[in-house]
Amino acid sequence: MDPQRWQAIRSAFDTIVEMDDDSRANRLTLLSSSDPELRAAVELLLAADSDADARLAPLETVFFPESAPASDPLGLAGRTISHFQIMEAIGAGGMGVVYRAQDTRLGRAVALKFLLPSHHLDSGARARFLREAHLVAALDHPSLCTIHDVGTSDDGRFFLAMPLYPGETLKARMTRDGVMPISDAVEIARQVTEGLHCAHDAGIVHRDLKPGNVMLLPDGTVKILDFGLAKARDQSLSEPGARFGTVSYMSPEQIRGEALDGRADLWAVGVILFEMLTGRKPFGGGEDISIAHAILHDAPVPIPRLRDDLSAALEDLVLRLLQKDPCKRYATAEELRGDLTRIEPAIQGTVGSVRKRLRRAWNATNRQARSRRWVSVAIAGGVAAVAISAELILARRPGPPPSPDRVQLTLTGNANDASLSPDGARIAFEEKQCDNAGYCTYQVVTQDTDGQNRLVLSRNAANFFRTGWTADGRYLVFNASYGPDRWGAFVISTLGGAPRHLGGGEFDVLSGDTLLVAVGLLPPDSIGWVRRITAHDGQTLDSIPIHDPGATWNLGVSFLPFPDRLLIVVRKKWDSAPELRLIDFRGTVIDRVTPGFGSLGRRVAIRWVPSRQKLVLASQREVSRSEFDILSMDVTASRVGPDIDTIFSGLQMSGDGNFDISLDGERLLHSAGPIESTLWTIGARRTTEGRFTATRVLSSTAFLRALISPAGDRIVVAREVPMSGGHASDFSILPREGGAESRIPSGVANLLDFEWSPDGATIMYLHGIERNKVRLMESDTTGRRTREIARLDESAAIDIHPLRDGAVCIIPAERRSLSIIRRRGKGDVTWRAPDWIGSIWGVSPSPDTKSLAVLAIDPPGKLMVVATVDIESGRFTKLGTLGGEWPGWIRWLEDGSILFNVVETQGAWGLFTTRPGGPTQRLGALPVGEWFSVSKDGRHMAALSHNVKNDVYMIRNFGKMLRR
Amino acid sequence: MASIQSEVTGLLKRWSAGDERARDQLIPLVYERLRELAHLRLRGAGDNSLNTTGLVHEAYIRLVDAPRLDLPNRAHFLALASEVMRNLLVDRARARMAAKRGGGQTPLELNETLLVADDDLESVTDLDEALTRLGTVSPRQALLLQHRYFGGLSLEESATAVGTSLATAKRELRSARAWLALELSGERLH
Repeated sequence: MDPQRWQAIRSAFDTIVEMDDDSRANRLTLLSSSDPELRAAVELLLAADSDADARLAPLETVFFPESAPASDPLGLAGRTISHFQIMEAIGAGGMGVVYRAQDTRLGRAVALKFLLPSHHLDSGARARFLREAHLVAALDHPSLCTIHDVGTSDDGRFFLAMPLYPGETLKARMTRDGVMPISDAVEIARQVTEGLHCAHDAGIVHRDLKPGNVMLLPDGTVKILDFGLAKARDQSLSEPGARFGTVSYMSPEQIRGEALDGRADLWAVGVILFEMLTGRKPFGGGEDISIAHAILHDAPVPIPRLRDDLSAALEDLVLRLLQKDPCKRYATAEELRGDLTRIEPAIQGTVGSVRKRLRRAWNATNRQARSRRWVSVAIAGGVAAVAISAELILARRPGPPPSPDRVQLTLTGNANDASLSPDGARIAFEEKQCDNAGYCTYQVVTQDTDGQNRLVLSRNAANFFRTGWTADGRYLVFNASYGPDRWGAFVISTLGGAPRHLGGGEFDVLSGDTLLVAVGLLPPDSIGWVRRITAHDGQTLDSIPIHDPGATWNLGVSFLPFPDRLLIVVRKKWDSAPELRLIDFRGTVIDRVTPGFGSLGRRVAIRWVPSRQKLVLASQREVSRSEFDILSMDVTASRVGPDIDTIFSGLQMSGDGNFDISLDGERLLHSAGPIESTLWTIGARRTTEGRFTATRVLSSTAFLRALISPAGDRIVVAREVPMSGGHASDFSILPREGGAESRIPSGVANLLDFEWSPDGATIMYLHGIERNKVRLMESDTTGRRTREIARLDESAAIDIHPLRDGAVCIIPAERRSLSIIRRRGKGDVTWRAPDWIGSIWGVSPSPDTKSLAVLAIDPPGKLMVVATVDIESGRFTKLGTLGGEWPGWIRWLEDGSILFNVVETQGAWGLFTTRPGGPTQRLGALPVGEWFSVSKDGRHMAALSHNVKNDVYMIRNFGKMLRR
Repeated sequence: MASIQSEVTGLLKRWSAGDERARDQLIPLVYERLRELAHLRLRGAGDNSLNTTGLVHEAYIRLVDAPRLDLPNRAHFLALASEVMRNLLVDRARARMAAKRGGGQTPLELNETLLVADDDLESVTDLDEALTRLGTVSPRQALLLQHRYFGGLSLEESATAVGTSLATAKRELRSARAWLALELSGERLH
């Protein structure tokens, strides 16, 4: 297939795919009369489109394993087995496949676990398995998974019916959290031990206890899964001596294939406890064989090397469980439970109920995991989880939000990244300084909140993104870049001097002149660090590791009023939900919560307000207040109004805007601004090599587009104002150098393009009128006389170029052809572009109106092409090509030369001149603007520029707005 | 690490300012890092699923001083990484297939070829060949698909990287996906 053919198919497809069925059929019928092959191709493509998700599913599964849809590995969905109606597969693991099912007798949802075919047993083993399964089913203990029923499917597959448990496995929890608090670990071990005690009493050994078989329920209950299954599994293995499952949790006697009793399960408790407390397994080694060797022969990794805050009693307990000789371990689960219970109160301290905290941890993660609620089950390979949607405590009160009491603190339109001094009297901010060529540097400025006593502290930063004050007000901290080798956090005295480099990372202020600098991602361990640094001498006091499996994308830090605690904000990706994490100075995670506000955007300000005991947070997407209960260390997120748009009320926040919240939480500082359009005229004297002068004509906070008249004496301006479902534009005309504007009445909805007619008497414009339709109009300069030239499909016209006598050249959306629409009765023509043109961007008629000059891109999209087209014959003639990033406009001047501009590789607009048969000459770079037009004598140009005028604003009633 | 990050960030900025030599300098850095990450992944606990999105974004996080890069720079990096990822995966898939067929010596360590699971080898090479075909008739659409499958770019990032509007990228991706669905089910447009 050649590119043109694909282009034709694609453009027909693009139009038709948006239509409803009837219109599709009509359009396809039309197509088949003109080009039956095209119709066939488009039809094929449409069919593939409607079915694309299913057809591409295998590919998606390979490339995006996590998004793979739950499969139905046993093909059981929809079938009824015994009195269970099977709904869908919700998980699979080493032991079997779990389906969600409805118990039709008791009318409840259950999980059915089918053993995998490899676990099929001979008749003797089947009987033993059934006997044991029934024994397990008879056990009744809160720490053991309940088994409702044991059965056999038609094809002889065993299944167990179990409740659908909400929650996650211990394995999932440890993968996510790493090291766990001592109290949580001990509590989980205690409940596991209680379950083991009950089963061991009945003579049943688990044989495969591991974190994947331990389920943590949202109410803090721990459930052991898969009791008794391992025996059946082991018996089903045909190869003598073959092992199945995870070596890491096997006891030495199990590895040696000896007879087992309950003490093998106690060994597993030891391994699990070790792992919960240290984040590592006691016996390392990469492969099963080396792990097994270590279990048989090596001592466990010394615990103090991994963690130094365990009591001697707890360390002894773990080591006793990991004795190679079963006789040296605890004799029974009962004995172990006694010791665990004695350890627990000593470490529980003032933290509050461990069970409650376990519950909360689950709730917090569940919010995060709502969209992938069955994933944890797939990891579990055990009992199914039911997603319980977490409730957000909404603190909304009736009544309209109070309007923000906003003051503007800077007036220059180039201020950003502001922060408030601790005493609230001064602000620090970044000021952008740009030269005429558009190159910008940044400087740090402080001033009083009333604008007085301005002080510039540090100039010439290449990049800048945050400021802050030390708690004693003597230093400013900021994130900036002074070049490739000097970026990150800097500190500077508020009196001036040279900035001191603190290292790459984001900062937060702790107390006095102490700072925290968060450094993400130091390989090879994906560990981030929070460093405590003193501002006056840059000395590092602590390096606190932030252990995270996988990457920590965005690490923020925040201060909380505990002697030994930090609140940090961790985001895995810049747009993923932030997690608030309470840590100690060793990096141990004490608590964590994912507040319900989802993604926050890039800039977040968080302030702990001691007097209110509230955590206040502001970001581009949310304003919220979180409540933090110090006694229980319980964070509950409450999203409160006003929404962020109310705070901004009419201002735009660009991608680099920011926030700061005053120490008392009452005031909010933010930088934002209106988008300002500026209209410039450029003296385009082509004789003056490379020199252009730009004059500002007018600026407006409405979005402007403007074009200079062919005679160069007037400018038509379109002002865009938002309206429901689109925008409306008003035209007005003003003298070239500015002055009185004459407005053309009657606004135009959804203006797409407009141009002066060659004689300057009328303005032609193209605007959207309804779905997929556009209208081409002509209006005189008073707006009294308008006429419709044509109605077209949206794809048929994107740019218009008026010719003489009311004719107009239009470029369709695909930009591969141009059409000439003439006055009625004269016949319209469409000329397709030749192979050497990829897309057409600019068109201008010659002075004799017999030809058009065309500015285009070549098919690979690498070179700019200048060409002419003969209007009568449609013959394209290439004048030349040149390098560049993007084409601009082209204008055939009255002296026969052709003027055009393109974006050059350095990003500026270069202006060029050429003529048929003549050389191409570069006239220079244009000083400003983007939307250009030029008079027909080439002497005058108009251009527009758009930028956000960021200033610093303070919302003085922010606290009040939050409290409403 | 700081120096690698700032080097990459600097190169990215030079590249988006139009310096093509910067791109040439970036490629080996990205390639090495992706290879290294893939190795770490393989040594990890039994997870040898092909997670291109994860690898590419991890490379980004590790190589780039990330929070300060704006969308165009991020998009350019991810687009480049998707290209490197494609080459890396396809090379390894081909080597592995050759090794499986006993086709002479393979220049790569066997371990490296495990980056693509045996069941997925053909998916990778089929996609690569389909993208190459699409690239001859519509390079930009081929890029959009490459960004998605080999880099996991968002549509916005992808649109930025190919230099088009979100709406255009969306439209082009739709027909490109339909085309790909046809190709992979063995049908061809003529």
